[in-house]
Amino acid sequence: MLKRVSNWVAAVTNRTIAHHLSWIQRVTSRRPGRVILVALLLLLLSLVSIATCRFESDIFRLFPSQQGALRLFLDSMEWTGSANNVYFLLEGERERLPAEAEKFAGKLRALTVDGKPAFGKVTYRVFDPAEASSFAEFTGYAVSHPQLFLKPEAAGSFAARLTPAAMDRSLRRAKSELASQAGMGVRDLIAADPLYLRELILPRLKGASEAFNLDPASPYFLSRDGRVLIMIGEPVQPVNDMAFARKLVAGINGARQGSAARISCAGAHLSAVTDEAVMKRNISACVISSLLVVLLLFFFTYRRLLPTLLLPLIIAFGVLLALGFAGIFLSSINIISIAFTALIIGLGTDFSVHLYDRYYTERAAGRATDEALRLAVVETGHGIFTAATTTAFPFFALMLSDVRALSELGFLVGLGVLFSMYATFFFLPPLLLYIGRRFPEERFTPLPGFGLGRVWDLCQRRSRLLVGLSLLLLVGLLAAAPFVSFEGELKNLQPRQSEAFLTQEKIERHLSITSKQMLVAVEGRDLAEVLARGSRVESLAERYRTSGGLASYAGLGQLFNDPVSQQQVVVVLRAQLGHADPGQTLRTALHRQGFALAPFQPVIEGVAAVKNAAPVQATEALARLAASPLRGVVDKHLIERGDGYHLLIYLNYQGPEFLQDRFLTELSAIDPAARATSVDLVSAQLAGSVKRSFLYGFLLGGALVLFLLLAHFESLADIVYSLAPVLAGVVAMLGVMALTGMGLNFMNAMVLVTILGMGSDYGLHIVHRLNGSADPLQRPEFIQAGRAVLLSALTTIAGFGSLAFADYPALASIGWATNYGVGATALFALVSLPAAMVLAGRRQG
Amino acid sequence: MKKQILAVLLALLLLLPLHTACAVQNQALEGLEILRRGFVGVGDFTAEIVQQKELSLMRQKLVSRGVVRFKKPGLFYMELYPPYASGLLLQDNLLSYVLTDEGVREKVVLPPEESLGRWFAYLERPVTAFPEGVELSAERQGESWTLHIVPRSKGGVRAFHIYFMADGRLQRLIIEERNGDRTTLKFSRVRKNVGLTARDFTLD
Repeated sequence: MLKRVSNWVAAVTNRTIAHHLSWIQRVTSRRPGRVILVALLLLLLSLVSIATCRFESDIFRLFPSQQGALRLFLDSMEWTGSANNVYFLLEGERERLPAEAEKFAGKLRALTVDGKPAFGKVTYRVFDPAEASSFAEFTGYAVSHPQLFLKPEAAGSFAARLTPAAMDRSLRRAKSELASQAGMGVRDLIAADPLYLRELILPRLKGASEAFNLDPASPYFLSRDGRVLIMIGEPVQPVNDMAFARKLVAGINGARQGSAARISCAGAHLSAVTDEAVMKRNISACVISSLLVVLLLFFFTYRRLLPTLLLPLIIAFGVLLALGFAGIFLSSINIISIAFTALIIGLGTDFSVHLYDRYYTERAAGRATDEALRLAVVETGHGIFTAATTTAFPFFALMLSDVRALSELGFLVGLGVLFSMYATFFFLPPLLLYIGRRFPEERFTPLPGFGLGRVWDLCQRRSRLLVGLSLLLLVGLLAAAPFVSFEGELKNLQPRQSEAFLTQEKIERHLSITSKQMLVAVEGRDLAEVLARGSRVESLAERYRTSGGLASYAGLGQLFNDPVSQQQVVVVLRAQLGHADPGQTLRTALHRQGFALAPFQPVIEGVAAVKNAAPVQATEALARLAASPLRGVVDKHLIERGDGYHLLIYLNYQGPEFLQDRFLTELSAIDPAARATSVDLVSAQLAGSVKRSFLYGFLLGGALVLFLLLAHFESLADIVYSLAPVLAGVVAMLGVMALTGMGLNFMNAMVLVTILGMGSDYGLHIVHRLNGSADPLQRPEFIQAGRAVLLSALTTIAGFGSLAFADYPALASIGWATNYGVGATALFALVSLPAAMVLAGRRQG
Repeated sequence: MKKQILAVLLALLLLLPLHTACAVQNQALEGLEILRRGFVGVGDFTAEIVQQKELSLMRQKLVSRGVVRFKKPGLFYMELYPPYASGLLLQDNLLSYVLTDEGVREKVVLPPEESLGRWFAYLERPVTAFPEGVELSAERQGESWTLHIVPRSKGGVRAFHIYFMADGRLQRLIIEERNGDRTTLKFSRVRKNVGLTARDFTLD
């Protein structure tokens, strides 16, 4: 029953395809003008669609970012502004760096784009002298509210500084400082805090405000090794304003010329402009080089100029129609997806190779132009049609992926393959007819066999040996395949030579506090509730820090105390101060040491109030910090948006000693709504998403290929023969990747799916030709089909091979993986498959 | 802190902003050039000082004695003796200071425009024009000169007044701050090219 249904499906499908191909052959031979007119109309519509389509270069948009770690990662970049900042790294001699930084900062501040300043702010100093007054004011508040800013364990030391003897010591020191050359700079600070109580408070605030690992002795953002200085610029326009970004980068390049320091730069604006340029250059190089190789291969095989010149037209038509058609359904197309053009060059040429090879062979055998064309379009065209659909459908199966990089590429390549096939069917036959009529005396000498005749003979004589060796090779590579690793580090997919990548690496090497960081977000509409929940998360982080899981962490709790800690400070201060009156004690001490009292009235009152201090609302502390030079720390940790407050806690860790899964479980237990992100979590999220996509894609693509082969062949053995080379090719690809130390990653894993479509053609063409021929004709049929398969493999390798040399490791890895897979599949299709078929034939015969 | 240090340096080394605005020859420029010439050929320099500070934070003046030294190409040292003992060392743009009795030590890297090397370089050229960013005026009474320098910026210093002799010898420096504070430095036993060594520029 199943066999009858299967045979009926195959018969109907084959009849439909045959009718379709016959119609194409009739139309192209009788009404070539109309064909060209319709093609031009479609081309025009595609160009309109492409012109209205938006092309973007943001690599993060290629991945699923609606939820999970990547969503928070992107949100936090937008909240803290780090997504828009430009980071400059100055390298050189320690002594010269500050001077160069001053010069360069001056140039950046003077930089204009369209007559307006390009940067809103340029920061490269730890302390801005212009903020000395507001810093002194904040210090005055902080020392008179020790319950807020003093660690409970320091409360005793604080109280000890309020005794008469300690006050006298502090005031003598203040006098010495005022008398010294430092006096003018510290006058306001001494007026706000003559007892140096700030020494118990400021280290905590300073520690919490450090985003980088800096040299504490330098007023600049200088690394501890003194070799690099970091400068942060805040452009006035966001990165999606590409016209601004281009002018900004041009201005930056001008500003850094002539500097004695080596100045490199990272940030979204630079990435958008330079990476876009690199990407365009890469893709252009890939497209041009692969096109050149493909054309040369075609020309040196067939020695015909006009068909060779038609190839770029077929490919361009296929690409433009694919882009135009995709533009109707996609709101925007990522520029990295344009790399599909290189793939179409490799894949789209296969159809012309097979069609022309058959036409040429038939003409060489003495058949007339019309008959040779009919055989090529209808007979070989059937194989081409099945091959094109088996190639396109696995690519279409990738559209299921929620990873846009894959779904977009799958959609474009699938469309490109189908449109290239139709372009071949509609454009090549009219050209061949024209050549036949224009040059009736054209001679068709036998085509080169590329040694395939000897391969066929060997398969006849040594089929058992060849099959045995093939199996041995396959088993060896199968054993190696499970050792292929998965590369989950996203940054390793960025261009290694790009300035942004290299600068980011240097920042991590010289200035990062730890190599890795996790970000926890606690969110809600009620600030007090958010802060209380954040405090619980910090308690958890503190537990991990003390047990060695975390190197450090930073949160608002590092800046000021929660109500419980405030109460602890208050209790200690009350107990230690007893019946003392610190305000009066200070007044007396100031008088005794010769100070005027009026300038110190605020601090006298502040110290007097310490004894009766009570917990202070966090909102007051936040308002005070936000009005001080430490406002940047608050901005880093607390963001207010229309949807409420987002409290961010940064966890710094080195590596595996931080048990992330356990931490996340505990985090979820104490605050189920808290979100977390890190490079590790983003990579894991993407890896999961990609693996899911490929599993579904592999199953769906495999099912589609199987269905198409079922429809094409009537025998199960033929389907097995067709699929065997590509399945062996996949195993070989993984085995070679494992042996060469190349891992699978988010991008090249797609080859596991697409190779099914690309590679199944090779077996299909060989089986298709060998099945339909009598024994004496099998050798020339194999040579003809094998030559086309070999050329197809070579053109595919030329298309993908060009990707292998791209600067983007993501693209390069696709190129290498495909080359391994296609190369191995071609080898199995051209050597192992005929040997196996010969062996099986003898057993049956 | 840096501003006051620089004010002292200004007196000793003619520390002035470097850009020229115009080329008006007048008495102020003449006075400035006299000071500059007095410095030409000086490899090192030492002088005793008496510093008097009138501060709004204090009921009485703070009076200190001490010493200043400098040596080309980039060393400056200033020490105040007890009761308000402190020491300061500027090595080009690296500034260190100690409060001797309190055991306090600080190190600060100054911006390059405040480095000694830059000022020494300035002294190599004759003064032919008003420096930018300040207003200058000068008075002469016989052999005594007074140079008044008023910065146009809104920093803490309102004015500098430098008193010196016609041969370039420095006598007194007064720094007036916007908040009313005032510092007077009187120089005595000024000696040039005495062969100061690295030991004379150590903070103990």
